[in-house]
Amino acid sequence: MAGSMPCTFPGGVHPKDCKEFSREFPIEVAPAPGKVRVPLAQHIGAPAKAVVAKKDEVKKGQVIGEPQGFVSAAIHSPVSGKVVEVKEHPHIFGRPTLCVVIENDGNEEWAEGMGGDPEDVSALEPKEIIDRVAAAGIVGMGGATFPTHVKLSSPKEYPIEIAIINGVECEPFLTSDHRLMLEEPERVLRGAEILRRTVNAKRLVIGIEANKPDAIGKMRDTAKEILPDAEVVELHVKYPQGAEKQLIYALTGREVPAPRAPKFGPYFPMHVGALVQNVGTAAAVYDAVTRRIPLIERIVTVTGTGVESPKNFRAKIGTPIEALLEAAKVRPEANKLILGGPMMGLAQGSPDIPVNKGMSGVLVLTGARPDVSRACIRCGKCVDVCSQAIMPQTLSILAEAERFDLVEGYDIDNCILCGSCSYVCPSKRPIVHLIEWARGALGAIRRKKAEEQKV
Amino acid sequence: MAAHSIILTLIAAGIIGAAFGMILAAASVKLRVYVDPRITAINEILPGANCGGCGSPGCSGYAAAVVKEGASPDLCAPGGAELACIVAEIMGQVAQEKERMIAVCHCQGTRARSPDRWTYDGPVTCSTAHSLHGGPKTCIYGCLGYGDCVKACPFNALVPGIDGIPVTIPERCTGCGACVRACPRMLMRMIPDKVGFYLACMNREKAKAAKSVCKVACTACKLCVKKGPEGGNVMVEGANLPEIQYGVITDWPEANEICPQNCYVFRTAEAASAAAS
Repeated sequence: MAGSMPCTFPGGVHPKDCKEFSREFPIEVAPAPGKVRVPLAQHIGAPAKAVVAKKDEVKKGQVIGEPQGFVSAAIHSPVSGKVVEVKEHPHIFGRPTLCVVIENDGNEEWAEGMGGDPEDVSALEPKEIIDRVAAAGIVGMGGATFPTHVKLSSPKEYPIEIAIINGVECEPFLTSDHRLMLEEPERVLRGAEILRRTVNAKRLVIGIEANKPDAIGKMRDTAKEILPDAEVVELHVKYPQGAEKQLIYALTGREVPAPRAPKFGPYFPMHVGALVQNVGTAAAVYDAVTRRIPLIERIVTVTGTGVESPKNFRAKIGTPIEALLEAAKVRPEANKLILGGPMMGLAQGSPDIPVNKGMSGVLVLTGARPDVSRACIRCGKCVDVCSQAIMPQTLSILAEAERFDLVEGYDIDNCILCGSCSYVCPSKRPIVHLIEWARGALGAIRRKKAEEQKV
Repeated sequence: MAAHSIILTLIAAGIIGAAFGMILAAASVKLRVYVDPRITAINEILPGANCGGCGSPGCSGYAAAVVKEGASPDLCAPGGAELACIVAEIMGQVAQEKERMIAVCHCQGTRARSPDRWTYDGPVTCSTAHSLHGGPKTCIYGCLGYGDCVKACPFNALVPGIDGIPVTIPERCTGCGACVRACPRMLMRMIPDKVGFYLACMNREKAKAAKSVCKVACTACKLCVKKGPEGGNVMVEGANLPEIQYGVITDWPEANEICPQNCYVFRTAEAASAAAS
């Protein structure tokens, strides 16, 4: 076995996991939306370009957004119906984004060649698999939304030794991956096997946090039947165990170098011979490769103290959040809406946002009140918990002083925005928000510099 | 023995010091960098606030720009006309008369007039709030009131007023433009100091949409253009906003009798002194 298996990582925090709200509820299909609003930027990389126009008829699974460049992903219609408009609408990140709005005719008519019975793909070339994954527009469904076909096409000089399937789900409240592993372990494992074969990895490891014993049991039993050499590993319960770099460390003892380590960067997991894919991505890959089904739906947990009946939905991409909230019955006293988990999710001012490829949960809370943030007292708690070994307090102070020229030297690129620092801060400082803001400003400075060099 | 070594040390240190002194003296002559005396002269009389209003990095940068790149001598807003005369004199030019400008916030949408859509709970700066769905305020063009302009002002000429909307103290404002660059919504704009009124709204929406987000939003009704002093207001194309032509009118006390939304703000001495206190 290559490297030891620490089953955890340095730093991190122990928030209450709050999974009891929704983990008992089986996945149910979300009510069919009358209209879907599909954003064209749902992934890291260039936004897709709309290839349909107003009044076009589209079938379910039809491409409505062509990827722009290699690091980009195709967007497909989640329903059959008619395009109502292609227009800018509010999006999860806070800026209006071009969206294709489609009126659902309810016929669920598949586009040609899609949705048939699973075919045998054991003889398929890796290249063909990657092409099918790219055609299906699959992106990392744990939340980072990095295009999967890019991760799969790592160059020859970096052979992948270990394919890791991420079933950690360390964010409190969320149970979408948990339910998926319980209810459809076969899809996950068969997808994992396809991923492993594509990158030609020796080992296939599925990492699951110890607070999901039923999922670990189910995955182990299923693996015994259909994939005997897959290892299902029980990991310590700690946040952010499910972050890519932390998971690689927990399972292999290898550290992915900093993204901009001097001279050699940027570094990715492939540089330490690892490929990490979320369980949801593995299941989507299975559908895409064997049945040519594009990524048009995902599992979304609707949970929190603010809903009466928490649920795990299988929702179409582009479904309005309002429809999900209605089905889960929002309490009148609910006053906070977060898309994603409480640690890394994005708080929203209005539910006028569609489901996208990376949205694993909708969290509604009661009794939320704004924190009064105070000056940093240099207690160093954030440094202790930072799993990326940077100094969040210094970065937050520099950001407040708008010294964006200095943040690069304090390894701002290393931050994975996990939010552990803000979680432990006794001064209630919005550290992650400040870091993200500084990173945006640094990006602008870098772009300006690059442009000046060009001229 | 002890006295001997002390004397020896003193002599040695003296010789070494003298030798290095001579090297330094030679170097100061040989490696001298010529600095235009005019740069030094201008740098000395500049205010030294390093506000950046002239477009150069700091006051010494501006001094060099005037001498070397032929920058205009009247760019220093804090120094005003008086300083421009002296700089021009140093450069052997004649200063042109320049109008004194001040910056004011073109929004009067307090929370009572344009309430918050949701509670913002992040870093207390306008730029971070603005980047999240256009900020908590219902009007996405209006003043957020987190005081980026107040922090940016090097002369303490801005004070937060009701709900953080900044009030300018005209005597302190030098027109350097630091607040204009700091405001993410471009609400801080320059007006001539001599004028008595301005249109305090930057909402670019059409009538209904503008009215629904703020009680004092400009609805682009064009009444000020039609009924106001001839040529005093001109509609800006595509912006749904009129622009006051300060070259034509400098004061129009009846503006709000015409404007159904009471968008105009009048600069009175009482308001300014209240802000200063």
